[in-house]
Amino acid sequence: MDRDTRATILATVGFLGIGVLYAFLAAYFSVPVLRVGNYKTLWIIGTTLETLIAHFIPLVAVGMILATSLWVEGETLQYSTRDALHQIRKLFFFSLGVACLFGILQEGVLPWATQMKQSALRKTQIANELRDKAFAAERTKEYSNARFYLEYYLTLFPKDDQVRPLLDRVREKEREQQMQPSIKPQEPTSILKFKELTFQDLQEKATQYYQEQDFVAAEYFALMALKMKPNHPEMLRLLASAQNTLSRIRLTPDQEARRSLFQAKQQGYEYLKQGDSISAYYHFQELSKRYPKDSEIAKYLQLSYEEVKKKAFFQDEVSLVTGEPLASDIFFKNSFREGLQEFLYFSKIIATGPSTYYVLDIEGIGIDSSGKVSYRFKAPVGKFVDSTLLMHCLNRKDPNLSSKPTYFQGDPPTEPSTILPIKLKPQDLVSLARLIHSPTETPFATAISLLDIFPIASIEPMPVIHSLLMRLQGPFTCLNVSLLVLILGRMLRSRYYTRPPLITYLLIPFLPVLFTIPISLYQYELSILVSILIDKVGLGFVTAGLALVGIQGIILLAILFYGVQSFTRETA
Amino acid sequence: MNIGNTVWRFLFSTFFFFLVLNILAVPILISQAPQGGTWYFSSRLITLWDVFFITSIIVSFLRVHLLLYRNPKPFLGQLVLFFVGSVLVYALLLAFPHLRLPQISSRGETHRITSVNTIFYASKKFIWVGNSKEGVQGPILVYTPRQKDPIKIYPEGVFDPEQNTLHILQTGENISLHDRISKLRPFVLSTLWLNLQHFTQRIIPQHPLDLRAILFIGTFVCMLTSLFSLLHLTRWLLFNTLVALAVPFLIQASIAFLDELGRIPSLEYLPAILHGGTAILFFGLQLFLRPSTKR
Repeated sequence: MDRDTRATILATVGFLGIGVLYAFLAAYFSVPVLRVGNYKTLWIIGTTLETLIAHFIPLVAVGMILATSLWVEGETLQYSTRDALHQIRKLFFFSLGVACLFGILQEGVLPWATQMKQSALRKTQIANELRDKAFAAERTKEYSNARFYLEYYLTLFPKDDQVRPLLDRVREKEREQQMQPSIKPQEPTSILKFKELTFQDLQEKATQYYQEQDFVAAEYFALMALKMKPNHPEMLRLLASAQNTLSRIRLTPDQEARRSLFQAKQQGYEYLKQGDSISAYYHFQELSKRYPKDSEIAKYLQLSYEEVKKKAFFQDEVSLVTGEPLASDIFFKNSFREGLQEFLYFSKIIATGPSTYYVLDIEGIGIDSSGKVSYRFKAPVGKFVDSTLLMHCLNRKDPNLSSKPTYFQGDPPTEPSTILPIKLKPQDLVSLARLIHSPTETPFATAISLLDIFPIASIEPMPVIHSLLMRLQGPFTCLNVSLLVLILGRMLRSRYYTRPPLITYLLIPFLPVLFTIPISLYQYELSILVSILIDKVGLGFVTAGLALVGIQGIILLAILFYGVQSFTRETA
Repeated sequence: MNIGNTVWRFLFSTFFFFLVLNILAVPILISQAPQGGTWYFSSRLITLWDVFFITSIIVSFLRVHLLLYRNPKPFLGQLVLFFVGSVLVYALLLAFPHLRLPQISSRGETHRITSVNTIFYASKKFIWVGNSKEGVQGPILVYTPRQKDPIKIYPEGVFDPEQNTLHILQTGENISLHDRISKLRPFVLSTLWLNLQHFTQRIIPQHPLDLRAILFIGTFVCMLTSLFSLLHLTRWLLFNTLVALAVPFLIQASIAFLDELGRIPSLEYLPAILHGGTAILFFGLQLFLRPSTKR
């Protein structure tokens, strides 16, 4: 490496260092505003890199032009054509190296830095939320919830050693809590595995309880048996007799309580049979509070809960994450059936796990073929389950506090109105929203592969194609600008034997700003050109990319020609 | 370098930079009105020629000064450049306002948004436009996030290709589609452009023998000629060039600023005062700053 190249590299690296310092300070002083908490280091690194890469070309240009005009050995530019070509070749390969470095930074580091910044924001907010909830659940002895929050926390922050002992303690307490009911003797009236009982079993039990003069249990089992064989004479007779006896005798408080319990269980079972799992869930939940040791109630509560999960979800699931959403503001066309077009807007998409997605503030509108609004609805929250969006959000304690979509115009297009089929997967919607609102966060190759989603969502892909093409041309711009400033620097070099007067160095702080003006104009012109190519001319991504590279190539040739001409002029 | 060669290079540079500015302007005009016709672009481009010309004159003076940099006796060349430049600026600024293409609007033609039946994002709104019939677009669905009534549906709208807006017939609202594809805007450039435009408007001659315009243009070109002295301010040519380039734009920014401020004595002759004063200062400097051929 010769002295000139070394001086140029040193000056360029020096200016990049100043850029890093500026970007770091700018990020550091933004931290309190952004409240990134524990992950501020991550956020500062991400933001610093993002700012540095955004200003890379002007910084490099200033470093190069200063080096070549001030420090590079300044023999006059009285070259022969051959020597001029040799000089230009040297400058070209140097610029090419810088352009490659920019390409690596733009595509290798920038998406990573942006993700790092966004992730720091999201993680900090989620971490605080989860820890608060875990401590609160532990205090109220809801160990199973506390364990869930802590396990989820550790999936996000596996290296947090302070939380592991807490999780172990909570697991131990949860185990103790679960063991307590099983130690006690089983209730004599337990009808565990009741669902598996045959008619014969039920008949035997009804007869047995009748003979034992336990008319409450006898009535209950007779009713169960009659559900299987409604006209069975013996059971009809036994039921009538048991009910007759019960109506005549004054039940003891214990018998009365058991009778109520059986009737209540039967009611819950009826809900389940009718497919009203939500009512069954609330019913069994209420029973479980009154009879916490009744394993049958616990079993049917679990069964109804499993059914509920297929059509609704719970508010506390959503309140788990209130921090930074994965994506915001996505509006897309969901379906097209029989002249009806449905549009959906999701304000935020959040996740509580790798495959559990929720949506906040949903709005939908259906438009018929004549352009009239067919229906409109709003829902505060929804949960993705398979390819549907569940919009019935239940409050565990009070059914009245549950939320459902509100149709304020027209009728729901499908029943039930709380379940909406969605064309796109939540992961795709998150990618789509990020690509629309923060395209640099997505790596180039991933972004290209995601372009196929746009037609499915009926969203115009042009802004994303534009952003990708601008990223594609970034290194070419860097190459052209670098080469031009190297040539200009040689032409406008200093004639001082040593160093220019100190006063001239006052110019240096203004140089990055001055260079940003023409460079931003260059990028603006290219941006417009890309818009014209893809929108007005209608070229696809590949063709427009080739055209753009071709134009940059022509500019490069012009710069090379200008360089050779300038370097040889003084010999004339 | 002889005088003829200098004048030739000056004229060529002026033409070259003028051409470059026109080329740079075409994509911007197209982006402002993507479906406007060639005639429409041409007529708009011509209206910008006076500002382009002033910019190209500034840059070409600097270019010629750089070529004359080593000339130990530049005064004659400067004098010739002053006369040629003054005549050229006066003549062209007088002629440009009369160069206008007949107004043939493309509004009469049928235009439609290219992205029919797809959702696009412009003016902070999600917009979906249904199929169009003979230039009338409809239905139009507009979703504005975080508004009280975010969803609006309009039966009909018209796309204005020249303004690049969607005109809602029901309400008369115009939705700008300029940022539909890219939001990128050039840094500082709009301020520079406004200053140049303001300055150009002030010096344009109103009639063939406008004495005030002659004074303004004369002092302006004189100031540009005097920039030669700044190239010898130090022996670091990059520094000198950037200072020389900054001076005309700074003066124009000052004129725009002071005009806006409005409480300056002799405001009417402000461009002449600023340019003339600067020219006297720089010509004075030239007596002391001699060109050097030594390294």
